Amino acid sequence: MIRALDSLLITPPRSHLPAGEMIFRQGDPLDSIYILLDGQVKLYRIMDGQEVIFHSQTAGKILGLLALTRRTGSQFNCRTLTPTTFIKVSFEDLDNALQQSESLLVTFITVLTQSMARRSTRLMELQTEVVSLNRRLSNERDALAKALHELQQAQSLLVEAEKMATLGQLAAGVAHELNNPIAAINRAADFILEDLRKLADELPQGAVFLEQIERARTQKPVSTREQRERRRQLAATLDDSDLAEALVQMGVYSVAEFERMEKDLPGTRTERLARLKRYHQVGGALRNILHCSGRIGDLVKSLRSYSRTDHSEGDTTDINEGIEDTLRLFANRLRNVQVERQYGALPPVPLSAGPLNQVWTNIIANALDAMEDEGILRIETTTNEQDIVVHIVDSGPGIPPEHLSRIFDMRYTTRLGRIEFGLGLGLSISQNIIARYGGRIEVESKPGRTVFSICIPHQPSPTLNQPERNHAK
Amino acid sequence: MNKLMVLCVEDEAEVREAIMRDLDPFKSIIQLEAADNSEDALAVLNECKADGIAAALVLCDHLMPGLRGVDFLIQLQADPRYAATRKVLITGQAGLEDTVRAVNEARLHHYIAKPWDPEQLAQVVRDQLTEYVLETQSDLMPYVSSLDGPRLLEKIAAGPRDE
Repeated sequence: MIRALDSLLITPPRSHLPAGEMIFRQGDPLDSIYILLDGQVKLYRIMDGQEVIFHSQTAGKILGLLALTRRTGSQFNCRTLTPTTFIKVSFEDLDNALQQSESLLVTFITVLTQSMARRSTRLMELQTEVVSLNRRLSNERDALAKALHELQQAQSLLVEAEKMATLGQLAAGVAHELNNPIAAINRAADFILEDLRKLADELPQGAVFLEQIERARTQKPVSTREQRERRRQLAATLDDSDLAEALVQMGVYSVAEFERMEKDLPGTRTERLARLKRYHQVGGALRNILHCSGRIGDLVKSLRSYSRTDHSEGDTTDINEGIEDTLRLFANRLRNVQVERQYGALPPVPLSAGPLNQVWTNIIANALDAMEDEGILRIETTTNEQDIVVHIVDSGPGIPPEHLSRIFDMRYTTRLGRIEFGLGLGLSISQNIIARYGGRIEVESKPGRTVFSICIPHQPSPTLNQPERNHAK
Repeated sequence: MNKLMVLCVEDEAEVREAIMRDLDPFKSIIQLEAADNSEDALAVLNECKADGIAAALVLCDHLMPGLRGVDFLIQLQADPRYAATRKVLITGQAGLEDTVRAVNEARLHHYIAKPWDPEQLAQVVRDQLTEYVLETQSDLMPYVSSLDGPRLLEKIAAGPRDE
């Protein structure tokens, strides 16, 4: 071809360029083709300030064919890599030469076709490469997203754990502070009783006074329905509904008893009744103080052992007690829940009560959410050769199978749907705590019966295991 | 004089006793009844109805076994027999949502938070019973000393109600 061109165009000049010289630039209008005779050039573009090489051509190749066919400017920058020799043939000269020589035309078309075929092959290779690069990119993006998600999860857990620890300390502190006033209230009530007994000795009607106080203090609770029933009965025999009401309130259910008590008291019957009522009220108030401060005391005790975060080597925890503490703190949500307990004899576990109680709390809270605080909550604790097993069973609507595998995931809630898992992080945290001890949480659910089974090995490994995920059966 | 029936619905005996004792100042004009759950409260209302006594005021706790206080009050509101009955929630445990329902659906007249202040409780009961007698009783005189005297006297001075 070069020979044919040489003869037809009377030997066009050979251009020589050293390495690193620009032959043409991207966007330059091209009016010639360049036939490389010797050396090497690179075809490149500048993308985002970076040089991207598309081809590296060696001797024998023709540059500018694309521009020739499409009559466009150059697609690339072209720079020599080595000292290079080429022939520059203007489109016009080429046109003339091709019109004069049919053999040159054939050769040229062959060269052109080969070049196009090469480009087409390269295009396919590039396409394949793009696809595989995209795949790699998308895999890496997924991996990054996953890593980010896991990091966020870990952070949420840490924040939650920190929050719980702080709350636990606060609760323990408040509970501790409450011990003093409760002790003082208890003692004060006892002192009042002691003094009342002495006072009774000094009063003319002391015996009745004391009897009424003791009656109120030891009075068994009676439902309002039963009280009304007794009032009706008494009113029928007495024919005096006010007296009947007063007597029933005092826990006096026979007229004879009232008559015995009132006979030594001064005044009218109404005055005597008022007096007996007053004595009774003193005892009733004392009973209420003692009973209520006892309840506060139990709550405080539960709160303290519940939020116990300090755990030293050799300390052990009674799981049944921990669950009982937790239930006591849920008292306000258990009014319409029938709690069935079947506590097995469990060996103490060498673990801190705090985190375990958090697990009971989360799972019981979920159960109550699911039941909307109405139904049956069953707690069973047993032990087998390897594990202590706690079953927490609720009579709620159950977890749909399609949700079952995701309940331990972070922030899984179906608040908008029928079932609520109020804590969001709760199950995930529980899972982490139990996994840390080498145990596991399993769940089975059908409408009316959802069972969370928590298995804790007798010899827990309090190491930071990778949290095991997804034990949903 | 018609004695006004006041019903205290509270599941904890100690709290119920305390509320009832705080109502002692009204003893001369009220008939005090107690119920430890909503079901029993309905029973009391029915028994009293049988005796021809309408409930003037219901003081109701929220968290109780069985039907909760707010739902009980809503049920009560739906019954035309208790349209005039004044309804007061006395609770430490009703959340915002329940309280809003009580106001909107049960036409709650007052909300008292636990622990209650006995003077505030007495004031609320006095005001509610005053409203009740103004609305339902033709002879207001017997209530003047125990309830809001000035308001009742004003009404009495204005003459008999237009029937």
